[in-house]
Amino acid sequence: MHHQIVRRAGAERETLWVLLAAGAILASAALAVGLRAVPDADAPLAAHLIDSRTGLTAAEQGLYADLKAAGEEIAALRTAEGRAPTPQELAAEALPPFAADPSAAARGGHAWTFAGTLAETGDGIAYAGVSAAPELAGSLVLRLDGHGAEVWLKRAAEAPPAPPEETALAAAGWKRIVSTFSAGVTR
Amino acid sequence: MTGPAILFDAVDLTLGRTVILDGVSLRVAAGTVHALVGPNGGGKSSLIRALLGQAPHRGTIRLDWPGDGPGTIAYVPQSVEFDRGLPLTVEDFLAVLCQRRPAFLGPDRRMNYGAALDRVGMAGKARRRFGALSGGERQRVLLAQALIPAPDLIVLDEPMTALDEAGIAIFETLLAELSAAGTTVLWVEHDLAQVRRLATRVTGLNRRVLFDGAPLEMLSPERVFDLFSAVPRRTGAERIAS
Repeated sequence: MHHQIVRRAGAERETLWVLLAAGAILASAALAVGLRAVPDADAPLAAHLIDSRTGLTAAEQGLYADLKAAGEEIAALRTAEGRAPTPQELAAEALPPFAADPSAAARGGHAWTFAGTLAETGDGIAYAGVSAAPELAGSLVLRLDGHGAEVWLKRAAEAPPAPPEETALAAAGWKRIVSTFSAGVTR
Repeated sequence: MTGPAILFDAVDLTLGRTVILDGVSLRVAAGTVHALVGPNGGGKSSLIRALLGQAPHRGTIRLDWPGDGPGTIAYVPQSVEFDRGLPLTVEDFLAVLCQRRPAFLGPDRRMNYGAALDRVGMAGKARRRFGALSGGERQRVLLAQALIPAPDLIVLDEPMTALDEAGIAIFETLLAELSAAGTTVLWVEHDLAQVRRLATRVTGLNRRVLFDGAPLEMLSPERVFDLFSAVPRRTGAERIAS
């Protein structure tokens, strides 16, 4: 004797199978994500480096951006005139941050001087800006060599060592501003 | 192998808010010709749909097969929705319904459609266009498809409605043959005279089972009046509840 129960018409079983399939897909996806997840490998910066996105005040960020742009301008002037322009000449050209305008005053009122040539790279030059208000923006050094501009920072109203070589700056507590790119950078 | 017994136990069927079947409990004995009678909308066809697993019923419907596994169930619908212009022969129609091989590859000779058509008096009409058949002839073809392969349970939904007189005679012969072969027949029928003559047991159904027994005893005038009255009789307790 074989008993056959007539099942009611409906999509219960199909629904169950679809839900099970969806659950299996979700579970395997969660498993894959869990297994493949890599912790953020943000290597801490070296002691003589400071991050341009997270380590700077608002004024310092503005000065840093201006200095990077000014670096290209100075390099062009140097090529055209055959010598390094003085901070006064740069201020006369209204080139920020050398120009003594209200914006410069609001960002720490740096006093810019020519900090000499750099022996380590041959034809490098440097400009130093001593801050009048270190709580707004620290003192800055713009170092230019053949490769580009490099900006150093120290949150004190003091002049850099002369000549502002890397090792000397680092030893005196200055920090080089660098841009790091991690997973947190979205643009 | 004889046919199965069928057990309906407290079968409810509600579609939307309409109660179609209400606690239908019924036993169809193996190898009998069991007739279901009742008014239109009484749930006869719905009970059959539930038996065929096509309705969202509640309750238990159980087929007790005598062998180790389920046998063959045949179903003859009341009518078939069909486009008369379809270029389909009678044989093609049977092929669509009866064989596993795709019908476009042609009818399967092993199924012996000719013999089945012969049994319903349609011999020689296998190549006729199905759409060109009369209503009675189409009903005979529907009977023929139920005979392939030989059924153990045959479910008939008002098969005599469209049949002509000759067809009715053929149907009676078929019913006798099936009954003799031990096939269980569940038969929905309007024609109470035929039921009285041919069925071994009859159940009156109007949302619920109103009577169940031998046709000669059950189909008395009062019972039939009651069955076909607009409001099915309720028990006293239900009257108070509503």
